[in-house]
Amino acid sequence: MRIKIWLVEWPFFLALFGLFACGLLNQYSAGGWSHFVRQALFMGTGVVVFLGLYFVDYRRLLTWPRIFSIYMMYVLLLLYMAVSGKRWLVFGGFSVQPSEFAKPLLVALLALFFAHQHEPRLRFPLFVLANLLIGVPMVLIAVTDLDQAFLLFLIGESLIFMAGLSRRLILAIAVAGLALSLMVGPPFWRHLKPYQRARILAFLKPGKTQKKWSYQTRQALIAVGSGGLLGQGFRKGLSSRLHYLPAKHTDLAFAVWAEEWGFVGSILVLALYALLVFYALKAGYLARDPLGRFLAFGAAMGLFWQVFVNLGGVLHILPAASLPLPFLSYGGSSILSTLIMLGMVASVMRRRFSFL
Amino acid sequence: MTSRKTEEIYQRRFVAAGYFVLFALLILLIKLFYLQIVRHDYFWKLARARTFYRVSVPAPRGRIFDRRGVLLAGDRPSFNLYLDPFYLRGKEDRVLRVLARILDEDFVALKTEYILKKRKSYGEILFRRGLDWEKVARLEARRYYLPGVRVEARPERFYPFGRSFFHLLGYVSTVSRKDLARLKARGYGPQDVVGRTGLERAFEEVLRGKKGEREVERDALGRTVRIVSEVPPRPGKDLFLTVDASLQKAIYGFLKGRSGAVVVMDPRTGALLALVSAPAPDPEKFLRGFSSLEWKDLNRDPLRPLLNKALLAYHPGSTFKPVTLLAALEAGVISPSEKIYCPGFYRLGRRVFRCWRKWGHGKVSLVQALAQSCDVYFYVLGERLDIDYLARFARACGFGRPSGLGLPGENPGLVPDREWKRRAYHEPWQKGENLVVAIGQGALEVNLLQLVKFYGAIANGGRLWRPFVVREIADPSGKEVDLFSPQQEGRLPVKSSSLRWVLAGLVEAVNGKYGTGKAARLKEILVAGKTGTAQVVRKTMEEGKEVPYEKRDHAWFVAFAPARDPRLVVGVLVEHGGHGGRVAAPIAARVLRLYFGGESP
Repeated sequence: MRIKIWLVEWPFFLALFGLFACGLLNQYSAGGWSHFVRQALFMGTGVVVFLGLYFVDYRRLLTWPRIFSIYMMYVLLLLYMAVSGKRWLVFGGFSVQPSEFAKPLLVALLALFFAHQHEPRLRFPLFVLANLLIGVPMVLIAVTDLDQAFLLFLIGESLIFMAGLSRRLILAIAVAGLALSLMVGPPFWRHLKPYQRARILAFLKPGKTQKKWSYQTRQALIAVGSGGLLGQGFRKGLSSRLHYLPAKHTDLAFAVWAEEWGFVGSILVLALYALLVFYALKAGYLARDPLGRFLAFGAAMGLFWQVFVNLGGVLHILPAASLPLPFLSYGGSSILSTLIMLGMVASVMRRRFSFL
Repeated sequence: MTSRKTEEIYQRRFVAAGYFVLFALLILLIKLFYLQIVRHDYFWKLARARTFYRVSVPAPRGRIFDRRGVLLAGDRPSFNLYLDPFYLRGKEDRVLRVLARILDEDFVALKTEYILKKRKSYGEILFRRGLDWEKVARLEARRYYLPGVRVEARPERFYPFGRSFFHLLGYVSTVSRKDLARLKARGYGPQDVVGRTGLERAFEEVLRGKKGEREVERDALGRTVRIVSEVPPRPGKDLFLTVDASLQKAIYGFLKGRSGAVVVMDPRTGALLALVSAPAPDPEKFLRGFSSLEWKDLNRDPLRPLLNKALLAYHPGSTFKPVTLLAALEAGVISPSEKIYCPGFYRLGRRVFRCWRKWGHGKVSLVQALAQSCDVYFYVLGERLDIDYLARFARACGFGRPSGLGLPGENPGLVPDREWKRRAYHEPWQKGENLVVAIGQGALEVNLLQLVKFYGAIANGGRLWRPFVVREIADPSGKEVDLFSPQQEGRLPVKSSSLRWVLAGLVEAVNGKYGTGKAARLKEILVAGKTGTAQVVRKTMEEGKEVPYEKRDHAWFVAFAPARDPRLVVGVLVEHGGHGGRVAAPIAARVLRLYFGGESP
């Protein structure tokens, strides 16, 4: 099958490569040449996977038995991770974070699951089943990585929203949710690790004085705020250069970027993410088949929630979460998992015009 | 439901999701705008305050050299260890353990000390002074593991001659919190040193130089990363003195075990060759700090080591007699050939004034009176002289006003007259007081510098030179800045014939058969001098009884040599030393012998 160049959604690809460039520059600034090289290596690997997905027909690739069996094996892996209390698997020189791959897998699985229903409304048994599919990996991931599990919940529930809920169901969920949170909330709170509790408290009671910000929040805000309109310049950010920013390669990578490139640079990155998300949504909107629709929507929300939760933490809109920002943060697992989702979106985009 | 309708429902949901995403991104955008544009100044200020800080760079203090260029006071680098509790918070134990290993000290003791010092200071703690090279190297090598630990080389004052120069040079010490309020306006900071006494204080502005300033970039662990800008310090200027270090040191040795002072001056210019006061504390101790016990001992010591006795005022005793004699000769109340009979006492009205020699001197001439220090002779002069005339004359000889050397803390003494008596006691002057002042007692007080200055004038034919000790102030680059030339304050208001008579008496005092200052006689060189035994309490020694130290007489001796062509005036004071001829004269003799090459120290 030949690609018809005039039909390719160029802004989508340009935005993707723009983010690659930003991510590489940012890693070079935050971690130096070694981080740059490794990040480029991750991106290269990701691009191969991305192109593979792009050229393969997702309808043929994603079949229920195939994805479900991967899902089952994945759950076993998560079980092992949860029992051993590890977040990382080390292969040679690289470590892999299995929880990152829950996002594309869940998107694919739920898309397949919802694609078979004929009504735009989820029946109750299916709703329960879908939540079960989300819940199992979520709970297992929560053991080692609460933030990632929360993200998974957001993505899964977004897909359920797209699948549709009746008014009665929404009401029931609201009531049950309220009851559950009252019952489970306090013990859950007590089981949080101190730093997790502190983070939430730091968010809920920020206060006006600087002392009440946690160290991480304070440094992130100083870094972002001191960037100003045009930034302090590439590799010149005081916060990142002098190690005031903790987790500057990963969780607070955006703070490094905002400090060095200023408001202009921040808008650029935000715009690039927005382009990706909106083109993914557009792909879903235009998709002719239910599978493509759900795939594109899941991937769009997968990207959106990651960006929103991470930036919300950095900008002190949400509690600080230790989640990577796709492409800007260092990490192969994050890049690979995001590119798998975007590869599926690209595939959906391409298939739009083939009337099979 | 038709598939067309289903599709529409899904599309509506996509649009809803799109608006949701748009809304969320807008929130991010607004917050970004708020942080980066609206609050930028605030955060930039926070970032700067966190990252940059200013440190002052101490200026090397000017050095002090003796007449031959021997270093008397200089700066040497001292490696000081600072701890910053702000960066240590939460990792005290880990860091202090590493530190204890490097300093080779006990961890528990170290931690206790840290906690105590932390409570007492704000900001950085000066934890150790004067680390040796090896420890500095080990600390620097482990800098990465020691956040909040800083080693800084600061210039520290040191005095190669130690105690012997203490009272002349003075000392420096760190600005205390109490001083800081006063000194801040003049640019002193809490780590700076300031000259406290002696030349260090008198020439503080010359010696201190000007501090530099450095703006430093600091990383999150408190380590200095980069110097952003620097204004280099301007070192203080050097002082070149007229004193001779080896002479000064030897003289300090001569005074061992005694409390007193020696001043050696060149009568031809007023240049001081030595100014010693003993005993003296170790000047470097003032920087490192005394223990409270040491400090208490220093203050309770009856030998009063903290006072410069060359600047304190005492009764001059018989050393004042040449003044009385010159005044009498000028006033014409005695002729040089007149002899006065001394029966051992002198009666004025109902009061009896005793000569120091109970059985009297018999008939004494002018020369004999000086040589044997006959009190009766001078009682007679005192009775014949008007006190106001004597006081005016004494002031013209340099008494009753500062000697002009310029060291801080000089007591100018007191020359009494009628006006003074009326103001101080609201009583008229008594004739008897004339007699007491004439032999250098009563209310009369002089200091050693004034005496030396006066005897120098007798020696050089009547010129009163202002004593000085700094001969040159020089820029450290070697460029000369200021040369001091000798300053003549005036002349003794006397005829040269009177001076010759006094000189004859002073020569006889040392060389005559009955001279009181025979202990200062030298073989090759003709020495002239005058002893003095100043009473501290009115009643002198009781027979067979040991007088308590603080009631013993002060011993004086002032000499110059060679008598015909003087090159040296030596003044000796031994506090509570007893008899001037027995105690002070031998010390003067040793000084003269040393100077003229006889005796090595």
